[in-house]
Amino acid sequence: MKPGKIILASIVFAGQSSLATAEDIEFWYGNTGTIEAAIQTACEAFNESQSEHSVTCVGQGGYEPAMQKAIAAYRSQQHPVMIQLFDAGTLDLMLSDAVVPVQDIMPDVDWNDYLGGARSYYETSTGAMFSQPYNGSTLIFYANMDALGEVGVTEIPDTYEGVVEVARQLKENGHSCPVLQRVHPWFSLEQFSARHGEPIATNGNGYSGLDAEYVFNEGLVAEHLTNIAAWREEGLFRLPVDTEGEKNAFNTGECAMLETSTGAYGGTYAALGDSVGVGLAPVYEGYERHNTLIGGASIWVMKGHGDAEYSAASAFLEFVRQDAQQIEFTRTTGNLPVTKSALETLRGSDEAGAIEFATAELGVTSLSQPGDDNSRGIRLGFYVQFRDIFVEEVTKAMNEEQSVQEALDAAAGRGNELLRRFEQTYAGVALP
Amino acid sequence: MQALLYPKTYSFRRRPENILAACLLPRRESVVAQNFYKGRWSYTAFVAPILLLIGMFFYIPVFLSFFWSFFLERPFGGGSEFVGFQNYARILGDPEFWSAMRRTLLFMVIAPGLAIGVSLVLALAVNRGLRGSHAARNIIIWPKAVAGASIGVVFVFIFDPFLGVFQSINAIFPGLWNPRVDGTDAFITIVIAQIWNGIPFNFIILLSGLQTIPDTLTKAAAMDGAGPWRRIVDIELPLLTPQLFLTFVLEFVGTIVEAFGLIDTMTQGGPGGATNLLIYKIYSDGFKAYDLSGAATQTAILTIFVTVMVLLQFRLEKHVKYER
Amino acid sequence: MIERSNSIQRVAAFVMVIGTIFILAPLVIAFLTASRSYEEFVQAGGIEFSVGSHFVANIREILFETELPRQLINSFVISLLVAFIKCSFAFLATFALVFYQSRLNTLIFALTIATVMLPLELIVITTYQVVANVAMPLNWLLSILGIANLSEWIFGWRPEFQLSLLDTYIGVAAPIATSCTSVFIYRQFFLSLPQDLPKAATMDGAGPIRFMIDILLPLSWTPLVATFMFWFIGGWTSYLWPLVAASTPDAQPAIVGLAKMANADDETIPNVPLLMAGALFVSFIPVLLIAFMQRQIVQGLNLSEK
Repeated sequence: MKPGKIILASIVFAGQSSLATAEDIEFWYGNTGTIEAAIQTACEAFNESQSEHSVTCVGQGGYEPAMQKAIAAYRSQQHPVMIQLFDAGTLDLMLSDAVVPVQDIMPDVDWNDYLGGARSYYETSTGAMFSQPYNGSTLIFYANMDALGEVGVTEIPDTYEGVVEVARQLKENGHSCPVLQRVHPWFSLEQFSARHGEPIATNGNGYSGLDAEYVFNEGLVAEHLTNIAAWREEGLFRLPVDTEGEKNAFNTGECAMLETSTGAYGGTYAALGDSVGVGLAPVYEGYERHNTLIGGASIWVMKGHGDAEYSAASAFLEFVRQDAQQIEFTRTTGNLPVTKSALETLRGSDEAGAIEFATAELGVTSLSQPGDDNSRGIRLGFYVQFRDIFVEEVTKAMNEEQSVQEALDAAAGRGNELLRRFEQTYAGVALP
Repeated sequence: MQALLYPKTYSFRRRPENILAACLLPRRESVVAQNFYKGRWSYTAFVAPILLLIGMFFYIPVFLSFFWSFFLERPFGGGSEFVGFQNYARILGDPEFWSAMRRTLLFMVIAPGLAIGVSLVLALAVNRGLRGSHAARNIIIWPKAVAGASIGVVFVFIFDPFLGVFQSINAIFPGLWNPRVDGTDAFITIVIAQIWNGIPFNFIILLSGLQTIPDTLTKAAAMDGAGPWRRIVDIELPLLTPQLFLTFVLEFVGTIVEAFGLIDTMTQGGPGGATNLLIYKIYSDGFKAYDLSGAATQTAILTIFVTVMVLLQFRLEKHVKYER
Repeated sequence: MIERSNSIQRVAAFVMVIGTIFILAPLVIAFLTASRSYEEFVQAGGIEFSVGSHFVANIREILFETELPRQLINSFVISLLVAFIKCSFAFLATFALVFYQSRLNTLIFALTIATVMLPLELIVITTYQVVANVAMPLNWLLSILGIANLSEWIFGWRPEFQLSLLDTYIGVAAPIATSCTSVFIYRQFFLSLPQDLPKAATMDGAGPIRFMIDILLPLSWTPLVATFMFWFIGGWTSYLWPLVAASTPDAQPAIVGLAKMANADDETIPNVPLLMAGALFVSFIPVLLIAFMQRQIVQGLNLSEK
């Protein structure tokens, strides 16, 4: 029996060791690269700024592995106190019963200080913040002003009609890739629908009930993707797969215009210098411009820990919310400040005009456009999986294996099956 | 069960690395275990480690996937609802499952067929003992030591429509070759990479089979006036039947899982799901989509499928003649 | 060969050359590309069939500016563990199965051999759950036996144990090592030994353990070394399980690290020369092993013939 006892003892010991160091808490994040470096810098700064708490920040090598690890860890009660998770997994975590709303832990924080676009994505139906927005970004439009200048264009177009007109001029001038367009739903569905005020799904994209259904296959999104397919045929638009530089074909100078994240500015500026111009993402003529959605990720506090851990978590969340911390994060990553006060502080500083902050103001402007029920965010179950389905079906359409309409119908149909299964999985659970 | 216990049957060793050894083993008609020692405690101590290991990391996971296939699991736990066969109904009624299954079967026929064909030709050539055949033999086995995921990184570059070996063809006929967007092209790249990775194993098996063919047989045939080509068809190939059967058996089921590293580094199941084989679908359903019940159900279905295949192989094997 | 036949010899030579070229081509292209600098590569816009001068520089970058060297050590430790567990556990068990008299022999042999049927990759979803908490079966057991309830009733404490092996060497290695092919190989070997070895050992006063260590182990050296190297290579090249079981870069083996490097979402054109250097870097140890130890591996596994 001896070996058995030893194993048992070691298991008990392993189980208790996490309790023994109450104020040393873990924070899991998914990012790699520059954002990871910025997160680690923030952690070190926090640990040096005070001696009461200490946070160990553990990179999990991607949002998806981070979520997967968190699920496994929660199931075996070894989960961290805080986890950073990306926008698309919001509802999965909200209903998981594995997290505590940050507003419950820190009721005294002025949550209204968060920018509207950031609030609406992560708040409950009653307006309480469920998680704390952390690395935020949104969709803007990039143009290579040198390329545009060759055909005499100096203003970045802000409508699709305008974009197509410039693209035609570029093409006639022999340009091989006037517009680089990505089909990933973050670009071609979520941000597009939001700024046109069009629904992705009923119930305000799921905000008012789990019985939502995808409806993007009827209406403007279908029209837009059909247009993209036609423009691609005409040689005006290129998908990354059509270009040598793929996703980076704008940075390499191969393509002249692109819709992408504010966070991409750093890399783009490094590649193209002053010829980079940025503007709001285009809308179709005749549509009122709504806000774009906040991308990136937020920090969630997980259930099942003691008061000491939660006060450490609160201290950390408090720390990264500070204006100076947010501005530093913006400087190194190109992400947006997420509170009004941080934005004001940045505007008031002498650095406001620096290259690192070039997209902050524009991104915030984009987030702060008038909104409606269809531009609050995405509150749909198993949405991460839906994104893959959308890419798969639309890719088939772009390869002419099916029409765009067939692709969208198929994506919506498969998406609805996911929603129904999500509904069944969380039967009897109310949407917070 | 009987078949499992007799070393002269080879069918249950499916994974290539497992097979290498097995196929080269002598086929003993009668072996008697020595069963000399007695002593319960020492016996237990000797078998306990392996039983603990496989119990923990093999039998419990297999059991768990069947168990979960009858429940609707919430990803974070906390609520798991017994749903009977509903998961099976969902999976079996899902056209995506069937197209992944169809792709898997297609891949299981094409890739091993080509890999074995190429290996056979190579083994026949190397077996002629020409100058340099030792070096060739050594080199042809190298891919065994190269992980699918790392050669996938190389192949994805080689087949890149703009950077790779086909860029000049694309320059003349734009869009002729683009595995990034064309599903068939992508499927072909995975098949080629799989052949590259699959050659060594089949090659070793077939070559060792060829080397056991007695010289006397070929000499006799030569004296009867059979030319070298004739001898390949009339003597070497028929005598190689057991090894050929073995390679087919192994490759056929082995490719179900082996392509994962290639798919993950080369196509991620795309474009448009064209290379989304079942093994990749299970991985992405389970690890990217938090669909534990669905992934467990597909695991259970695939487990049954593999078991049935193995049993079929037992039956088939009875028709293969081993004696020389 | 029996007679010289020009047509077939020429075809055979041709086939051999083509086959060798097919095998070597990806490795050569990887090397040629790895020998260029990033700037040269971007400028040339693809494959060039000449040797550049930056191979050493790229390898230096791999060595000093990526996580691959550290992950190479992970690979090494994990592969050693896999090979060691596979060989040692199977050796002990097979010894018992062959040389002991027990009614359980048949059952245990069947249990071990059945593991060969289902690859780990297939059951990766639930294996992950088990490795995430290896105490799970213990918890089940306590709960089924009623001990959990009893304890809750008496002490007010319900025993729930947790031990995660994710991101640990043993957690990555152990599930890979479950495939029990070794049992089969060693069994074959033991059965081919002279029948009265253990009897002779007993007459010399050696018990079963002495017999195993002093007689059987030295005799089995050749197959043991061969299988050890073979499983080492198998552990090194495995991908799906390490990919999920080790998510932090510190714990990942080199193959996974390379794949992550290739899939990284960069803002620039991927540094293909560096990637190719990385692909060669993560492969050189097992390839050298199979190139130089091929005779030992193949013949060690090929237990009786020749």
